Amino acid sequence: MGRNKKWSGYTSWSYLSPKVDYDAFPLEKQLNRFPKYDFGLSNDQESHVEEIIEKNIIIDLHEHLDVFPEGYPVKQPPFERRRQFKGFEGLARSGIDVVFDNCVCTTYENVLNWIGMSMADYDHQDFVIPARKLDDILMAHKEGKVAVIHTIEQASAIDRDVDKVDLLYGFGIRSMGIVYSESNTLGSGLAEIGDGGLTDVGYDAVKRMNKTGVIIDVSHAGSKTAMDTIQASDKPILISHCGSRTLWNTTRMLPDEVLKACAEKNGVVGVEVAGFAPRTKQHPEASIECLLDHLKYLVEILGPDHVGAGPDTLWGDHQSLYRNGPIHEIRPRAARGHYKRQRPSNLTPAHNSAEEVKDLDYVNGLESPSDFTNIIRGLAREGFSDNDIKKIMGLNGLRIIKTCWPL
Amino acid sequence: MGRNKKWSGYTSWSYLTPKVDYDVVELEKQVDRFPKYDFGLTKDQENQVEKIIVNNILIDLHEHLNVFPEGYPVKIRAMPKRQFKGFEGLARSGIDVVFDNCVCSTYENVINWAGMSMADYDHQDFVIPARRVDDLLRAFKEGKVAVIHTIEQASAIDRDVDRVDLLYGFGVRSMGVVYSESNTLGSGLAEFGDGGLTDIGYDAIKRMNKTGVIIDVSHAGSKTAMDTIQASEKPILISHCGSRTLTNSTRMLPDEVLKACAEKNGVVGVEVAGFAPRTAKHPEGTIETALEHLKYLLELIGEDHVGVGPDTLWGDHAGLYRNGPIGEVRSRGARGHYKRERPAHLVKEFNTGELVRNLDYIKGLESPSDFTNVIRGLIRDGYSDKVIKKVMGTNALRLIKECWPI
Repeated sequence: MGRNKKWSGYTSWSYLSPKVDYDAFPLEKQLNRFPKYDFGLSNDQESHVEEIIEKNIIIDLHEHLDVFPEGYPVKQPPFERRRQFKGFEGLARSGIDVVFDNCVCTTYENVLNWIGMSMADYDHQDFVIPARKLDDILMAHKEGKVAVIHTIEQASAIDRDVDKVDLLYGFGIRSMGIVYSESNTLGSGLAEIGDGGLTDVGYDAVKRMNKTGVIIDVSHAGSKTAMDTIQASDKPILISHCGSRTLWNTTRMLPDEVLKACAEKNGVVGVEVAGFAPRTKQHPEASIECLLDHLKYLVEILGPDHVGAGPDTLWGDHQSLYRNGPIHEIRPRAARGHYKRQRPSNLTPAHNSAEEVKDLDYVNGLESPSDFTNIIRGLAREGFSDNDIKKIMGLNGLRIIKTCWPL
Repeated sequence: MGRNKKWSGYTSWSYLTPKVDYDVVELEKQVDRFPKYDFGLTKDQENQVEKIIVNNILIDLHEHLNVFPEGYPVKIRAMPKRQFKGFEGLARSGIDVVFDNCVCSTYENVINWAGMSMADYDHQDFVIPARRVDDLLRAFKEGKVAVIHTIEQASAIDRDVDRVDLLYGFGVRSMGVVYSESNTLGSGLAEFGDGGLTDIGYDAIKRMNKTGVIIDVSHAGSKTAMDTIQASEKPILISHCGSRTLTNSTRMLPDEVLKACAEKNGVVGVEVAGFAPRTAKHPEGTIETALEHLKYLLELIGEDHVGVGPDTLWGDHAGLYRNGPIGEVRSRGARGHYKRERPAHLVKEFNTGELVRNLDYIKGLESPSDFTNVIRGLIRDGYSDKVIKKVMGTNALRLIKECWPI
């Protein structure tokens, strides 16, 4: 059920003493951050949306569940931010039953810190369930809880040791992006000039992920690496947060042939906005409308059984991360992090998020995970059937989970 | 319920391909390793034992749930990278809840152990890695076994108290402050001196209390143990130890420490490990020495504060001490330290090598599958069901409920 979530009011680190055990600082709001986006729905349509939320399992394919410190990343708090503050309140009101939470995490150590701390936090309350098995997913929907699927956006932590897949799985990771926008030992990222495809270690990693029961994601991979992965995997692939290069011609989107290959093997392609929204001709400004455009297009070319939504948002000033944020662990060439390098002109235009957010305050209609169900409003407004909405908003994600996880 | 455990037959790493994904080894047997120990019980008494097993939650305070490779550590010296857990042995043991242990000196070791254990367990449904009290009750009700992941020393914390949260996040729910040798938190039982709990050790205790980690001092020096009991706001578990009055060596704790533990509502568990702490009455190493310590403790600290943590495994445990490979931590009695003059006035040093010289195995408590033999011994010696239930389970359950947040 999407409403009446059993949140007791627990907030991150309540079992510790602020300032004594951890750095305390003001956090961004989780609700009513911006005016509601108006879809122009009638009262009946709004009721219908609520019914859909209440009765169906709602699965968000890609978010970041942490709440930014107030003013971050422009105002940098003087601390080592090892502990994240999760958006319990924002989740409780979001209508979401299951959500893939992500860490970009380049190194094994980063992953350990992220997953260890997340689990420590969650193990002190009973509203959010770190999902380890299918039962946890179904239980969340039934019992008014939220199941969080811990995901790493790149499997760099594996390095050259395939046994790391088992270890990460043991810590609670249930889904992994092969590469982020930059390459690692497993394959090439979307931001690179070249794409050598899946390496031999990458191939081993895919096989071990299949056996162990880790969902595989290629949202940030170069197209050859993505295609190789889809072909190598014995299980369906999840492309959690992406879109079509036909609607928005940049390296951040995947070519239709890759999306189709994914769907052909029973995979699911989720659409995103992140902090900038993949623009379309119909909607050159950044809002939920861009996501809806991609969604509609994907339903046409892949069918309603292979589409989902992974907005990739967070509670905080997401745009600032791209505009003038701190040096991240990984920077595509367009931002800081690499020496200036001549890019061949015949390549697909590089994705330049800094450009995208230059005049953007926030993504209207899909600004944080709490806006997730706005997608249902948009789909209702566009005349999608209940059947298709249920699939896009949950059942397709559920099918991938059931097919990939051992239990 | 202690019987009819819902084991599907899963064995470690079944989700992978042997030889391709992991090294295959022949493993020791898990059941019927040696002849049954005869307590001379009547049929009625045997039935009584079975009834107790079926009707009560049985909690084993300290074991090692891995199965040794055949011939390890005498014939072969190398351990495979992945542990093989004793699913079959557990299924037949009558145990509902068990504290599983890693001696693990470093953070990396703990991560490898916890991560691999969880990966294994997450592919089956008989053993539940226990993260909350509900998991324990569920194990008892549904014919499963709940495993409480424990590290025998909290060295992995080093000087960073946030590591407590991280380790808790990985599933560790109980920690020994120190093993037999000192670390940044305090002094181990094998050292000459004992400076007690350090400031970092004190911080660690506080953080463990807040986070909900059970604290154990089985291997600590007596001052460190006492400091810990005093510093902690929660009851302390002494999972596998015994009384220095019955067995005068550094491996046992003095009665005053055991009493202090009980006074703060703690629990003291007796052990045999691979050698059995010998007593004047029972100089040979068998279950009888554990029973003797048990009975002594019942008198000393009362039936609400005693438990059983045999500290066994499936394999040649005695071999580890006799001439085993260099472990991560070695007490002075074995390899690992330069020869060093020990002051004569100190409590007799614990020398496991000496104890196992003529010992093949511990009769009656040779592996975790023998756990319920303790019930037989207590019945034989006239203890009531009421006391047996406490010693074999409800005392531990009380401590766990007091320490864990959920």
